Amino acid sequence: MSHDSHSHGDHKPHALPIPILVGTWLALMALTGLTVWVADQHLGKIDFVISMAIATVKATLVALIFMHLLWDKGFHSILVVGGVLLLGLFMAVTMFDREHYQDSMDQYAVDHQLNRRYPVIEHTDEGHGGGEEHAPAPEGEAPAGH
Amino acid sequence: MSEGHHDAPFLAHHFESHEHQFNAGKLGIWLFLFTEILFFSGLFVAYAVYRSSNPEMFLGASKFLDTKMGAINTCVLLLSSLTAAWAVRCAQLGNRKGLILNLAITLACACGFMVIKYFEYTHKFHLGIYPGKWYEASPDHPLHLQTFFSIYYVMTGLHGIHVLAGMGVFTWLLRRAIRGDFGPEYYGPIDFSALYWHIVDVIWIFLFPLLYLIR
Repeated sequence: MSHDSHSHGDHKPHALPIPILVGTWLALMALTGLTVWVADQHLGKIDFVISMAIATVKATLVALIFMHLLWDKGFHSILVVGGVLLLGLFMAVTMFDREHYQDSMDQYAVDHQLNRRYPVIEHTDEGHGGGEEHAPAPEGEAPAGH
Repeated sequence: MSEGHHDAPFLAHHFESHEHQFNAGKLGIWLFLFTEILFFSGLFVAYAVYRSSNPEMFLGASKFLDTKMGAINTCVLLLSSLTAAWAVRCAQLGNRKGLILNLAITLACACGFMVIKYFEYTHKFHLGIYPGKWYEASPDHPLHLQTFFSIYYVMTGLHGIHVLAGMGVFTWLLRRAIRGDFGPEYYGPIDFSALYWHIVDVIWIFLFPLLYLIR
């Protein structure tokens, strides 16, 4: 363990100063406002990247300051980074796999006529606009051959 | 605690010092938080798979969520994170009144978060958007709305269970703080619970844009 400080009074905790605590919180609130504002600017596809970047900055602020990682043992940071890397690996491998099956998913949608407006037919008993369109299409109408 | 150190009632007998005990606890909570990241990662991957397969469905379904409610809940959790971190500071400095106040605010924010979540959930139920197989389709709903909301309910539900657990933990801490258990020597439970609370906050920081801010 650390040093030879066996007497109980020697352990001096590192208390975060109030300006740092409140400043971090204000930054987090400002970033929350920013992400809501950006979402309403209709930036298109880049929107997702921006909102995730802001969320990552916020999470990093919480981890480094509120969770004390900046002043803490390196091993605790390794655990966090390791967890995030494993999440990334999990995400990447799964998404590669999903991309690979895109064609068969598209074909499945065609074969099973997944373009119906109400895929769950059992629960639509209110009878909006007649029942025929809710019924599953007969097998013979499937456009693609079997 | 009869077998503990006589001059330190909360120092377990198998630890040499408070610092020794604190470091062991800290390692334990960080290992737990590591598993929490992995625990939630499965849900984030499920989200990614379904969103990449059905981008329009997520776009349409997200409009059924109230951004204002989500943003308020984000602020409520951020405030509770501040007070949780402040509670640690108070415990480290031996400020018992400040500790009690900060723990109470954290607990109140957790309750407030769940109250807002309750109103959001009941509003969805009112529209027939129940979880999973109980979903009731309506002509006002976009295609495959229930797929988005199944993910929504599981992610926010699991997060909500974490908030409920946190409320239990902070109630326990508040009781002990009022009793005067904590001080500069012994504040491990405050520190570890605050770390747990921060990770719950971090997960919400990602859930908010992923669910509410799809444009």
